[in-house]
Amino acid sequence: MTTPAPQRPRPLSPHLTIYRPQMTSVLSILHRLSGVVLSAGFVLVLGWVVALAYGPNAYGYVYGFIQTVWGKIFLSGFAAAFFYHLAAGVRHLLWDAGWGFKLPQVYATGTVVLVFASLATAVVAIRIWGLA
Amino acid sequence: MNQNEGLKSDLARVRGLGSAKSGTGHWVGMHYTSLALVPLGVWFAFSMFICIGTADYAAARAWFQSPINSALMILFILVGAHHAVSGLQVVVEDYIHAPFCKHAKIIGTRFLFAALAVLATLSVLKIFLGL
Repeated sequence: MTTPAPQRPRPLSPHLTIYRPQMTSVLSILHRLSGVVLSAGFVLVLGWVVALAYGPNAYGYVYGFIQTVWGKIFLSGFAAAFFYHLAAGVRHLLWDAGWGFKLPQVYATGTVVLVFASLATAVVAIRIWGLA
Repeated sequence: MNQNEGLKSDLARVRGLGSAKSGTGHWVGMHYTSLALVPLGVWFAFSMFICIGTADYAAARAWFQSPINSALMILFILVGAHHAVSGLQVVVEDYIHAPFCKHAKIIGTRFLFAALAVLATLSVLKIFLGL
């Protein structure tokens, strides 16, 4: 009785590390990444609400952290993730409606998403860091 | 079961069986929650934008005294939790293949977000009612 040969790893199709980054693939990955970041941020927002209900001491910790440099870095990061995910999400809704699949449209909407996310994040970041 | 079943590839085994019949619900859920989160998210971001740096304890409590703010916040919590859980589920399904690990993470995420969403909703109500 022969023992079955150990299964060798199944062949994989070329993966992320093989392909040259393109706008289509990079924006798709960013959408997923920003979604995961926002899930963590959402938990923190819920924590903020719970702390506010709990009392001034609990809220003081959260409020104090927001004022620190790290707090501002976190807020700026969440703002970037939010505005990107918002714009890219609207782009997904347009695709769901059947619009925007032509390659020039894909690149045009992708550029709009990036420009919107950058501008909105910049405005919020200026406010967070108190420059204006 | 067919004797040759063990020799078949995974693809050959499922070919012709049709879809899993469970994807549409997930898609519709993501679709509706993302539609709702466009205005809710913009409202929330704009509110926080106004509050940033000035929302001390009293100001933040006062903000929740408005029934509109409290109602929209509860909507944002519930819809946002549903959207986050559905999105994270796809990420887990894509990258984690061990069945136990996969289901443990999906169920764990669901329980965590459900518990947090209920806790946060009760917190909004508590502040709104001035308790």
